[in-house]
Amino acid sequence: MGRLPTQPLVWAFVAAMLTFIYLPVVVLVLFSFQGGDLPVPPFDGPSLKWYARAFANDRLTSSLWNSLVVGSLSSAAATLLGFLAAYGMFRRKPPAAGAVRFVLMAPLTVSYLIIGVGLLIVFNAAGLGRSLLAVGIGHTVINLPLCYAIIYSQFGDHLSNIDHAAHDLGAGDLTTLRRVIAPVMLPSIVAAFCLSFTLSWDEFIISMLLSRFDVTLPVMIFELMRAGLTPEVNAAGTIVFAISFVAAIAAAIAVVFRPGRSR
Amino acid sequence: MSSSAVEVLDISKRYDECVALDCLSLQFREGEFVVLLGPSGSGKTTLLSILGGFTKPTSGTVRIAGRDVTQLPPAQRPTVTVFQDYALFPHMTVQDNVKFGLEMRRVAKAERMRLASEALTLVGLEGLGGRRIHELSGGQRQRVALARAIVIGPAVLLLDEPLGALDVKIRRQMQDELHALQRSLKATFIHVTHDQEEAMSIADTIVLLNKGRVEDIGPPERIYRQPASLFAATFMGDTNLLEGTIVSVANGTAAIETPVGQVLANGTGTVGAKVSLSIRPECIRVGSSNAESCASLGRARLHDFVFQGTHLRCQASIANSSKGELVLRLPADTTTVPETSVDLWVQSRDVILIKREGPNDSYAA
Repeated sequence: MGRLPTQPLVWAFVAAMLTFIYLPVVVLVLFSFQGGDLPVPPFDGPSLKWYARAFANDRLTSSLWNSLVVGSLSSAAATLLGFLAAYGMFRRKPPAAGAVRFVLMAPLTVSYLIIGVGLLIVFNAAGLGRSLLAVGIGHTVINLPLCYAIIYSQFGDHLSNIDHAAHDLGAGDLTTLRRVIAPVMLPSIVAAFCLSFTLSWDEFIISMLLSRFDVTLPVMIFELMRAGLTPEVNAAGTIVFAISFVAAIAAAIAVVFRPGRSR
Repeated sequence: MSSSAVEVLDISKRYDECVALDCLSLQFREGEFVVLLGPSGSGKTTLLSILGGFTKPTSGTVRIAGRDVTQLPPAQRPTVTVFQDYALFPHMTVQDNVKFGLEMRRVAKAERMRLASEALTLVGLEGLGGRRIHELSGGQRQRVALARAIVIGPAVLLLDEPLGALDVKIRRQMQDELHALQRSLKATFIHVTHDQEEAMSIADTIVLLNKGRVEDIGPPERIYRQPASLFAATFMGDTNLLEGTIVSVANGTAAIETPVGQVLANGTGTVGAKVSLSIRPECIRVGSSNAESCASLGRARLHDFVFQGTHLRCQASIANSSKGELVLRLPADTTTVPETSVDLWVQSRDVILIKREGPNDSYAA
C-alpha cells in the first residue's frame, strides 16, 4: 500500500465530497432567507419574511405540531419496545434466538412503501382508517428494529453480572429493570429515541399514505410545493432540517458521553 | 438436623456433552473460610454459581443452614455473591450501592443509613459514601462490592475470584482484610480462585477441584504437605516428581526404587506397587546428612541458579542418572559455586508417597 503522493489532491477530493453532500442543504437554507418571490439565484436577502409567512400559515404550523407529537410518541413507543426486546434477548437468551432476532429486524429490509401500503390495508380492514394515530403506529413499526439494534448492541457481559447482582440483592425483574438496567442503559436509550425521532420527523411515504386531514410536516411541504415553488418551502424545509440536526447531535452526544460508565 | 452451614449433595452439572461438575458432595461448617481452588475448567465457578442460585444443577441438592434451597432463586437464599467484575451499579453513589439490598428488604430509611455507613467503615471506606463508582480505584471498588454484600448480613458470602483484577500488592492486602472481615462477621465465606498461594493464605479449608471432581479437601498445610493425589501435589506449588516401585515396607516407612536410587518415604503400600513420589523443592538439602530418617538422593551437579529474593532456585542433575533432574530451593544466602557437585538428601517425612490408581494425571501448568 503506497501513500497518496499528493496531499492537495486528497484535500480537493474531501472538499468535493463535502460540497456534493452539503451544497443542497446550504442552498436550501440560504434561499429560505431570500428577499424576492423565487428561491433561485441571485440571492437578494437576507430576509425573514418567508419564515413569518410560514409561521402565519395555520396548516403549516399545525402540521409541524403534528410531526412533533407523532415523532415523540412513536419514538417513545419504539424505544420502550426495543429496550424490552433487547433486555429479553439479553437476559433470557431464547432457544430460537436467531429466528426471534430475524423477526425483530425484518422490517428494516422492507421498503417503507410496502410497509405503508400493508398498514393501510390492515387499518382499513380493521376500520381504523387513515389518521395521525395510524402514522404513529407506522413509524413505531419502522423504528422498532433500529431501537432494538442500538440498545441491544450496548448490552455487554458486564451487564449480565449487574443484572445478577440486583436480583441477588432482592430486586424483582421490574425493579431491576427500572432501578438498575434502564439507568445504566440510559445513553443508548436516549440515542435510540433521538435517532428514531429524526427518522419519524422527516419520513414522508408512510405519513403520506396513512394520514388524511391532519398531516405531518413533510406531507405539508409536499402540498406546498404542488402549489408552487416559493421560499416558504425553503423556510419550512430549514425548520425540518434544524430539528433533525439537533436530534441527531443529541443522539451522538448520548452515545459518546456516558455519565458514570465505569470502563 | 445437620449443623453444616452449607451442604452439597451429589451435585452434577452437564452442559450438552461437557460435564462441569461430576456428582460432588461437600459440607462446610458455619463460619468456615472455604476456598474452591482449581485450574480453569475445573468447575469451581460453576459450583459457586449453583450455590448462589444463578445456575441450576442437573441433579443433586443444595442445603444452606439446613434448608433445601436447590430450587430457590438467588434473592431467597441466605447467600450473597461478590462478582469477579464487582458488578457495581455505575449510576449510583457508593452509598446507594450499599443501601440497595437494604432498600429491597424494606429496611427503614434511618436504619439503612446507619447500616450502610457501618458496612463502609468495616471495609475501610468511611467518608467515601458520596463518591461515584468511576471515581474509585480497583481496590476501592472491590471494597464497595464487599460492603454491598455484607450489609444485608448473609449467612454465606460467595466470592467469585474477587481479587483477580487487582495488582499483587493490593491483592495481598485484600487477602488479609478478607480474612479479618470473615473472622469478625463469623459468616461462612466461600471463595473461588485459581491462585494456590491466595488459597493457602486465606483458607481454613481448601477444596481442590479438577475436571468437575474433588481432588483433595482439607486445611492448606495438610494439602501442601500430604496431597491426596498427584494432581494435588503438582497444583499446590512446585514439586519434584519421581516415579518408582515399592521394594520394601517396614515400620511405616517404605523404600522405593526410583531413577535416582532408593528413597525412603513415610507411608505404606504393597511391595511391587508403582508409586509416585513428590518432593518439594525446599525440602531437598545440600551437604551430608547423618540422621537415620534421611534419604540420600545421591551426588548432583547444581546449575541454572536464579535468585528469587526469598530463596535461590536451581536445577540439580543427579549423577549416573539420565532422568534425574530436580528443582531445588536453597536459602537465599547460600554460597554454592555453580557446576560443583554436592550431596543431596531429604528427610523421609518430606517425601510424599502417592499411590497411582488409574489415570491420575498431574497438573501441567
